[in-house]
Amino acid sequence: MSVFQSPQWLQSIFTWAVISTLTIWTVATSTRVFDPVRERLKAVIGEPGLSLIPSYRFFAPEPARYDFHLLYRTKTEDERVTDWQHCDEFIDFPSQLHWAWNPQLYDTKAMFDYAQSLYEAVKDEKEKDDDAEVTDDVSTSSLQQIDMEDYVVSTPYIALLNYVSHLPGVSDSKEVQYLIVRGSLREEESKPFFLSYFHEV
Amino acid sequence: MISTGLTIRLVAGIIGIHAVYSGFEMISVRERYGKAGIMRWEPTRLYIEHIPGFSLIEPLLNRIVGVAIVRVVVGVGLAIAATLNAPVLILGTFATGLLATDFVIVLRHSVGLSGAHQMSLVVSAGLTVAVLAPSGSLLELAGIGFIAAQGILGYFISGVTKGMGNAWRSGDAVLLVLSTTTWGHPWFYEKARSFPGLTALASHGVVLFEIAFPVILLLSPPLVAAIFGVALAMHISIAFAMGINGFITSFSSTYPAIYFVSRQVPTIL
Repeated sequence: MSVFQSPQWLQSIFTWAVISTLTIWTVATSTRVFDPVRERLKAVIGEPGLSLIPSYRFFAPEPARYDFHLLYRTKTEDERVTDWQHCDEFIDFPSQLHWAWNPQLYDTKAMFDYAQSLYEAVKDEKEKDDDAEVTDDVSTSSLQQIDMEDYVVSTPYIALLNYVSHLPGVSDSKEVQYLIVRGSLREEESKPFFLSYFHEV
Repeated sequence: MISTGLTIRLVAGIIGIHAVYSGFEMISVRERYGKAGIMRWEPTRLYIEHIPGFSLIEPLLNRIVGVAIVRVVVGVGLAIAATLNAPVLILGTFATGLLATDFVIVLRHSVGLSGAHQMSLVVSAGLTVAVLAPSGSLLELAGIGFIAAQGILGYFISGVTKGMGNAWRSGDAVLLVLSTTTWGHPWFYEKARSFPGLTALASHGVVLFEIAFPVILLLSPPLVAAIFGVALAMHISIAFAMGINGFITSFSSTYPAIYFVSRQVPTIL
């Protein structure tokens, strides 16, 4: 039983328009895996539009191999800088029922995606500078300075800044700064890779 | 042989269940979308405000918890309507509602979604087409075929891209993933380190299984069922080890469509 009651010719046009849309959607899904195609699609329909085309590259070609941890510190009115504090909510081990019920996945994935985005940005900036070397030092003073003008107005940078700015105790401070470090169970120490500016709370 | 009607109702029932629990998961930690949340609307707005028609959908994007509540209601309705073999108009209304919520949810989240939501979007799109199309029409087949194609691509593309990665080819990939606390677990990591041969076998096995998945269209019903069983076991293992639970229902909602298409292949050949 059809819910469409319209002239035959109109149904034919509608039928083929829908089939064409589904076909294009499937072709786009198949080809967006290739970087040049993905960039072309992104240029045409934008990044939000691209999110409507499934990306089935789950953990490929290279799997996720690091955790990203968010740390923050504040500056008080008398210019005193506090110690780094860890945002534990993104590294809490899932409960035993996480195979069936895992609402925390959205937050850990969001943190992972934001950090991955900033990590790619840092990598791109470093590649521009042939002399730059990736540091293994865990002190933040060893981080290499990059041109961040484009990133401080990006969604990942602002979203993380917004998040740390609203953490308990931070609202009483003058300024806040965050740091992203990466690590894994394979390594004894995590390594910093992104340090924000200090921002007014 | 499976009828188009039964195929559509099975897809609708499974994706309805997926919509219910994924909607509840979003609602249960709604603080993440609030002023102090990691997914507050204002930063995300920067990412999406340039798309055409943004002002029309912003009220929905800005009320994502409300959309998630609608998703739960629609999911319940879809599952019940599919079970009770409800009239096409009722099933179609719920399918369209699910498509709308999938569309808004995928657009709203610049981050934080797993591939389960992307699969849900294409399944609900194909389902809407198949449900609302005249019974036995080309459009109905196109809707089912679309769901089947996306289900097969979900495995095949993942397998091919994995095969291009050094870590997957060397057999280290599973161990690397499990060495993170985001996607793994210390207990699983320690076990994986204790059995490196098994871990490498798992890496290679996943790649080979996913690349070979399209062969399912050429197999007999018992073998098709066996392949679905292996795929489900893989998703359940991933849910246990990595906490990515949405794949179980979102990917399995494509199985009735894949099975339907696989039964048409012998007649075509």
